[in-house]
Amino acid sequence: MDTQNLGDRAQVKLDLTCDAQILPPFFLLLQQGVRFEARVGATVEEFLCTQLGIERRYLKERINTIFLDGKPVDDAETAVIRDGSTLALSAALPGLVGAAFRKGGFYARLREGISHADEESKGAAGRGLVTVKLYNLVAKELGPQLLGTGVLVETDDLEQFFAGRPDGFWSRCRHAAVDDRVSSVSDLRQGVWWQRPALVRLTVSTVPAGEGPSAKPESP
Amino acid sequence: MDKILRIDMGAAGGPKASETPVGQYAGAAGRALTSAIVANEVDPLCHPLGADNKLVIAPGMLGGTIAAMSGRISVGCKSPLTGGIKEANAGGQAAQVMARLGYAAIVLEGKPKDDSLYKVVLNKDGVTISQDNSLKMLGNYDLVDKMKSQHGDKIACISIGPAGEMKMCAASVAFTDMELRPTRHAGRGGVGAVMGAKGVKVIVLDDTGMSMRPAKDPEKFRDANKAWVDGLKKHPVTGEGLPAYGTNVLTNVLNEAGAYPTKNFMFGRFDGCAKISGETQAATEVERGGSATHGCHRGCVIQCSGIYLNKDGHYLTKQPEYETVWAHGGNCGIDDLDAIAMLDRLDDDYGVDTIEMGATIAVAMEAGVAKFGDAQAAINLVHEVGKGTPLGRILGNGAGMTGKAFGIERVPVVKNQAMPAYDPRGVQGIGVTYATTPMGADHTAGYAVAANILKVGGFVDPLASEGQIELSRNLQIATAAVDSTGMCLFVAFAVLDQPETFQALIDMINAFYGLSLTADDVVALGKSVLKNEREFNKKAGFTAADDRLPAYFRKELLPPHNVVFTVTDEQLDSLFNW
Repeated sequence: MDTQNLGDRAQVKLDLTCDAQILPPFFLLLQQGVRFEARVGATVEEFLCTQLGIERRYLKERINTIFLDGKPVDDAETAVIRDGSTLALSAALPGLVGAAFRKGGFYARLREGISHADEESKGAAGRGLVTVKLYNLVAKELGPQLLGTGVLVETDDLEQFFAGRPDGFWSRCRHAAVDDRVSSVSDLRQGVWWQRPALVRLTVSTVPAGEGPSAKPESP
Repeated sequence: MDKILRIDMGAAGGPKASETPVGQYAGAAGRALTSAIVANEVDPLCHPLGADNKLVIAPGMLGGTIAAMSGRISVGCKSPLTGGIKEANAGGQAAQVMARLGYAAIVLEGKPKDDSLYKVVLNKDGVTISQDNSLKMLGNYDLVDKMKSQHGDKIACISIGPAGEMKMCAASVAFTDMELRPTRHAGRGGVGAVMGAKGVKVIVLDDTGMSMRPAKDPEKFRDANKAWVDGLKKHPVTGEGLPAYGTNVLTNVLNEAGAYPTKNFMFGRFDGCAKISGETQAATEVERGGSATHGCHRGCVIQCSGIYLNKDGHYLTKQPEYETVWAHGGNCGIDDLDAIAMLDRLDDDYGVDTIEMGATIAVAMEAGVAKFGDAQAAINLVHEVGKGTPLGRILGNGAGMTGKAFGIERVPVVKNQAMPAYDPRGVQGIGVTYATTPMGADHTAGYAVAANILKVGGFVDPLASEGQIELSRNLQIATAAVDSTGMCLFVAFAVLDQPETFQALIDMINAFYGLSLTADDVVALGKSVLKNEREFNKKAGFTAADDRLPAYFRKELLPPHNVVFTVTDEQLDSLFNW
């Protein structure tokens, strides 16, 4: 098994093709956080729009709440990501806290003690890893695009995710490839991970139900 | 809605009902009415479980009409938990049915001579009160099934479970939902204990033969309601987020912010959060054949509730709310959604407030009664409450009582009422509301985020140094007003962002009553409600010292941000200077 190194972390590439109807459960992975290789020292806006390809209008109008390292961000154009940063994105939220956490919202002062200050995120520019958590409608809407182009997932998280999936999920997984070699869906289900890498570069493509390649016959 | 039903439970010869015109309370509804009656008619120094207290149940201004989201119902009394005035409200069907029967309020007064239990039936022919001791210690679910077998399935029920009968301070009043299940609760402050003290187990409402309440200007009312519904449906919170994930959509976000009270408010983050988030909950509900999108009453267009099935595909409970998932989940270190759903079911059945109960169990866990994270132990503790064992009696009387019984300092209460699911060190503005609201720690007391649209308090610079205080004050005023309309508080988001939706709400009220209310009138209403409540508490002996968070919130750093509550006492004391 070939592995690549990202820093000192081994990774393996897993490409899944599945029926479109089982894509939503993958969004649960996104709430826990997935990694992206990034050009750090960039603003949140630059990272999301230029590096991840999210439309600026979507960021402005739909991503209502942003946390950078656990702190609510008021201005995506000035907050800066660093190597190791965690960025969490949410659509509009209910409750007073929903209003308080809004970026630049009227009620932002209610959470002033934990608000993100731009000077906190100054750091060296270069390459790094950034964790992105996608919540609620943002996960649903950006999930297909990001899963389609690939995300880095902790192996433990992926194993736990696979372990919790019912039979119906696996019967709709149509094709799997590990490091570009066709693999069996049952191996994935049984948690067979070659050399157990720390990170999995996961891509998920969908086909309409009944179309696309069939899964390789399962191992006895 | 032009009459008040008063039932004197201590009348000679047995309970006696009388109907009176609304009189001096004309125009008041919901929280405005419950608080006005309690403030005018209840001795602030009375014992909350004695004959001199009154339990007031009132639908909102637009109850019993076609107005969307108008199904909230208020319950008011002197609280046995806080010792001050209390208004707790709930969804469900009762508000609509009661309003169509013409009642602006039901007032339970006096106290029965013995411990007999009574059933009250209201229909188009009037009121019937009967003694029925066969109902004793029935859980709310069995009770409602029994009422259904006796009165059919077109009814709505207002009831108490065993906790209310045992007059526990965490006891709730239950209201049935569209499926005639007792899933909607006026939970806070022990209102169920007051109903228990009045000896009333259940009020059965049947509006068969009654019509929708007519508007003064039907055409304008219909048009305004349409604009109202359109506004709610197009807003991302009320039209998308809440219907898809319910209120539990907040779990991930509060956790990320480090303001998610964990293990009895010791930490701001919970490792098991993703297992109990709204996203996971909704996916679980859908995967099992339940539903993640459901209303609590007819006329609800937000549909923030759901149906939670167990692993075998059988109904277990309605979709647990964010507060419930937090109280029984992260706050107790429990990351098992099925266990949390079971706890929600038991709370509804025994009739206890999920926030108070979860906070109490967390205090008990810190005391070593059970281990954090032990879901089965938490379930067992709620059963103790339902059975009324000595331990259950302590727990059923809330976090404050439990902290005293077990010698715990870290008890997250204000005015003896447990804090909800937002750590005030992380979101300081909510701490201001927890401290100062007349209700005791209550996130919904300052929830109507439309305060700035209403121009409550004139122009407020939210970035000014006094911003936290002014914002909390204005939120409390706006919330008191919305609570009086009977509108679900979630409408505030559409009102906040869409001026035309706010206008539709005003138009709807004006068209229904033939009024010409302005935003100023709404503000005046909210202020008058708060004034009544503050005056009552003052006469009950409350002082500025009661408008404080427990001292440890100023001393103990909350990880991960390591913050404490920093709003000064002087600032808190200035909140009601208007």
